[in-house]
Amino acid sequence: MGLGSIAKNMHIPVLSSLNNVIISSAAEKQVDNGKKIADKWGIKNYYDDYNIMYESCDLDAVFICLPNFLHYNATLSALKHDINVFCEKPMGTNVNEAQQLVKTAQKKDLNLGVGYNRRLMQTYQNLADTVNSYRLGRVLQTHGILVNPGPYGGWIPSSDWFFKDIYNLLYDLGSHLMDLFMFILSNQIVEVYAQGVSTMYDLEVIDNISGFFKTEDDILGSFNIGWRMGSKYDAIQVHGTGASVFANSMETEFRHASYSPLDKISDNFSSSKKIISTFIGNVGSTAGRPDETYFKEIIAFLESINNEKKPLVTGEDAINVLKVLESIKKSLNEKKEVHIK
Amino acid sequence: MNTNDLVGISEIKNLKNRKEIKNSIFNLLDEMKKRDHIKIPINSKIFIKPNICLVKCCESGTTVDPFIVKFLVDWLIENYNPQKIIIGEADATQLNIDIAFKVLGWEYIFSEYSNVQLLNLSKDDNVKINLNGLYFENLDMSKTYMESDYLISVGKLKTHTITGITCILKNQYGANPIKYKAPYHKHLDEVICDLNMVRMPDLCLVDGIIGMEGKGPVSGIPKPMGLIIIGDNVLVTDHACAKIMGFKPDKITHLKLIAKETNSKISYETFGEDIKTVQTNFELISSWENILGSLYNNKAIKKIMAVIRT
Repeated sequence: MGLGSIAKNMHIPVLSSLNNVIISSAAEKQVDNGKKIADKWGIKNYYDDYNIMYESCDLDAVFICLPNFLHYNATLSALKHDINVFCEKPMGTNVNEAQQLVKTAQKKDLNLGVGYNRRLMQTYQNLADTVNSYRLGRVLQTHGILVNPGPYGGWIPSSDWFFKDIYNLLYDLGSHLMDLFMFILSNQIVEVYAQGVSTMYDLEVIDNISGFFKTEDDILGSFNIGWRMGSKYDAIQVHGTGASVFANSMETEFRHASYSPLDKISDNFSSSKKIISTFIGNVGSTAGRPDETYFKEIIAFLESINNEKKPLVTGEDAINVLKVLESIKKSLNEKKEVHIK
Repeated sequence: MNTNDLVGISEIKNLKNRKEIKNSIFNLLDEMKKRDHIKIPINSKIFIKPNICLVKCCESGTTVDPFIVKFLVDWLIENYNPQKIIIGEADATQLNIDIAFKVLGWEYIFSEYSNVQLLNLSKDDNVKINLNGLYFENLDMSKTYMESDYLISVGKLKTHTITGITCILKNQYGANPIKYKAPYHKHLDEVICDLNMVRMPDLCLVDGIIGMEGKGPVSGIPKPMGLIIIGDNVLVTDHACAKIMGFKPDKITHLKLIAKETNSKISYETFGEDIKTVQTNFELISSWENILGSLYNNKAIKKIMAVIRT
């Protein structure tokens, strides 16, 4: 559902590569573009209205790859038609919508998966494992950053929906970062304070946000999200009474009390080794192969349908993220800290 | 071109001081005018073509600082009171110029000027130009661009992974109203040559306040230089810029091509700062990175690896 860049570059190529999957139908309102993509991937049934697709086709699952503000209606309608749903993040634009979707899925005994794929990156999985193995002692503080050139700086959005809501940075990068924090720390964020600025002339979009938060276990955190950067960058560090750990998309570094320059050399050597082996491993692969995280989340979601297990990221996880995003929004508006119920 | 061609260089000490930038630009323009190297007809339509190749701000080293163009406009109004000033740039593969004008502040800055117009060259009426050039037989160009009385090109002091440098000559490549220019990259030097031959700028101004080195023209690293460079001839301006950036001008293919096409010998006088005193080395991509990149993208190697894997 929705044949924009995320469907075209990630979901369709991954699904098409799986032996036990047939992409039988697709729906996209922009017919010219949509039909081209459907033809390219051999998708037989094409619709310009997803409700007609839901009614006409016998579907086991649907992937919602629409703009954020359309996620709720498309997901709800699919669930009402007894179809399992994988919804790209965020799952709706507010907590009420997300709760409604989770309730409907539970009532209908359907699987509802959400596309928070960053938590499936190997380095962040390692970071989460380290935190949850208690090797950091008691976790006291964390810091995370997720920035990139954003729309206009890095790509030209095909429609202007990205700028219709001045808080869309929150739903784009903020949702990933908040999900990462809560996944890595296994802790719910309960209090936030944030400040934001708009740096694009004549546009009121808040394109850079910084803030602080506290979790249910009194872990203190700070975060930076932003568009308009010269490069993409993401990193999370977690500090505990026993050790600290730092991760970004390429490496994880574990720092203990006796960490020495020799340890640093050894860490650099081992991360260089990993980068080189990834480089060599990718030489023969098709250009534009989707990120591994998309394979992981999609395969797990399909297995969850067949085996009645939970998807890797559930509707409940998505509600928790939306609770934090709504509170950050409130804090930006009211310029004060907000407690999350 | 003649031996009287002039290049002026001004160095700014405080890169954030707009007053200093304004004074530098005014001084350079005054000197050019005093020496009779700016000849703008009375009541004319002046076209300014700035380099805006992506929606990235001037501090990133990617695009021209709109305030440099504002100071240029102020000087033009003060000295010539032109009928109209048009600031125009075309869409590009990854650029919607209407959005860039808005997001980067051009609309905001020039909204107070009654006789200044921002123009998307890709949306303007076209005129067909018979060129018989190195790449194009003929070219559809913006009517407003071609029919203006005086053309000022405002470039950026940057490296370019294909052409070595991008200053004024490469800036003119962007005047082609076609949005999807990527297919021209295989013949970039010839296309640059044609886009200059179709209309040579009358005056050149280069924003070298924060330039770019490395993987230019959009993915490099900002290079703070604090320089404004002016010239009355595209060839000599780019020749001087290449030297300032530490390149050998005779290794820049499009510079050589245009010199040949125009039958020009490069000779010019400088004023303001001396080239040698402001000269530095702009880094391009390292050779090992080039070798690795070409290996990584080599189709034959990809096929062999795919076979080994299966």
